[in-house]
This record gives sequence, structure tokens and C-alpha cells, in this order.
Amino acid sequence: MSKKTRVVVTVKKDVLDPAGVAIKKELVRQGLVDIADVRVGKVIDITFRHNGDPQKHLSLIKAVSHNLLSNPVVEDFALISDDE
Amino acid sequence: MTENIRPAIIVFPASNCEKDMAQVLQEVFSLSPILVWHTETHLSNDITHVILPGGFSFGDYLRAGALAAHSPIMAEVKRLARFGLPTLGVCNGFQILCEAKLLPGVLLRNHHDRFVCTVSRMTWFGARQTHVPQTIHLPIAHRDGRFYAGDATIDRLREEDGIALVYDDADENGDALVNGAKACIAGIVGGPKRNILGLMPHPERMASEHMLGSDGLRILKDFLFGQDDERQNDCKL
Repeated sequence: MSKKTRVVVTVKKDVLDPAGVAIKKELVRQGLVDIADVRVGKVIDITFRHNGDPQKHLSLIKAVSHNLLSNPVVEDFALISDDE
Repeated sequence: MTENIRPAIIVFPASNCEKDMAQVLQEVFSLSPILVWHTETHLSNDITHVILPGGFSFGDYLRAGALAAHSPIMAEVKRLARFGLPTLGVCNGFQILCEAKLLPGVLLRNHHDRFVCTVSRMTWFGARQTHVPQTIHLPIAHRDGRFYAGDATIDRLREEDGIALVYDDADENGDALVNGAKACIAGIVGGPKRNILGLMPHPERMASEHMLGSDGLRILKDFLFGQDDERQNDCKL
């Protein structure tokens, strides 16, 4: 039964990510010279207290990921379900 | 002439400019604003203007303004703004207006990833009515002030005179030097009656002579009274 869902929010490709730029600069300094790009995102783990209807949970999480957890103007999100 | 004007200032957890705004409305405009906690669900019928103040609502968790945009009072704020009630968002308030989709676009982390606190030269085009562009100086203080919207949205803002305020200093791409804001946008106006105004700078911090400048008054007067209203001249400055 799926109880935990991970929402991964990332900044869209064509939007500047200043934190990613800063990290990339340091990684290159540390010798990872072949890095093309570094992007910083957010991870939001949502765990349901009880085993409910996984399909219903998933559709609710999709809705809040679109409406609240990400801003569709500049961000994308992906869902990873963890079966426990 | 100000007796019919009754602004409500919405207070969120970690708002921190609501008292500055209230003080200016009281001392400069002789108004009696009320502070409304974000968990309220209703604004009384005598409210004529709504102001979302600066600060760091909900600690900027998730994204600046994202959680505040879903506060209980925001359903009422959205309803009234879409009906035409003058609504102003300053700094964090602007971020909240965008997250609430009352204005297009979003405010992102400054392109240099630093907090900026300075007085910036800008051009003011007007909110409730457009006018001859005016050069003004206003204080900014933010880390998430980089206005961003897709090209189609920027084009639409230009066509509809929705760009109310721009930073004067641009980089080679035409974006703001100070924070990377697209098309140098510091403030936009929208809503059914050009009644929803969002600004990154703080007009309430330069709204009287003892504040080293009073350019913020032009914006506050426009928001409170509209451009041609004779009450523009009725405040103490």
C-alpha cells in the first residue's frame, strides 16, 4: 500500500536558478569541470496517516502540487510514490 | 474629504510593514485603517481599499507569498479585488498577489542571490490611470524581487499598459540591474478597473519630508484617490 509520496519541484529550464549557478561555480572549482548545468529544487515528502485509497491520495497530491507546492509559471513537479 | 475612505491592512504571520503603512495612512492622509488578521474570512462593508503589506509571511516557506496566498482572508480579498476594490500589495504583498493569481507572473530570487536594500531610481507610469512617466526614487528591500513572466505575458502587460513601475537601470538584456527583474518591472497593475497594484518598492517608507523623500506619496495618492481626484491635494503634504 502506498503511503508516502515525494513531490520534487524543479525550476523550469529557461528560468535562471541563482542557487544552481552558485553551486555549479563551486563544483567546477572543486574539479568537476564537465558540468553543463546545476539546478536546485525542493523535495516535499507527504505521508498519509492511514492507508486510504491510493488513487484518491495521488489525485489530491497532484492537485496541491499544481496549486500550491509548485508555481506552474516557473516550476515543474514530479511525483514519486513509495510503497511501504 | 477622506472620511469615506477606510483601508484594511491584512496582517499575516511575519508581516512586518503593516504598522509603517498604517502610520502613513493615519498621519499623512488622516485615515483610520484597520488591521485584519489573515484568519478572518470577511471584510466589513465599509472597507474601501485593501493593502497587503511587506514582510516575510510564513517565513517565505515554499515560495515568497505562496502560503499567504491561501490564507482564509484571501478568498475575500480575491472576491473584492475581482469586483474592482482597489487592492495594493507592497513587496511581500506583491508576491502574495502574484501567488494568488490576482496579478500575472511571479517574484523569484534576485539574479545575484543577495538581499538588496537601497534606494532605486524608477519610472512611474500610474496605476488607476496612466500619465506622463515620472522619475521617482523609492526604497527597495528584498531577496525575492526578480519579476518573471513568460514573453507572452510581458507583451500583454505592455499592450494593456499593465506595467506601472520600472527600474531605470537595465542590463544588456533589458532586465533590471538591481535584481534581474524581467523588462525592469518593479510594479504592475491589473484587475477589472486597473484596481490591483503590486509593487516591489516601499512607498510607505518615503511618504513624508522627515523620511528623506516623499515620492511614495504619488503612488499612495494614486492608489487611494485615483489620478484626477481632487482629494489628491487634500492630504497634509
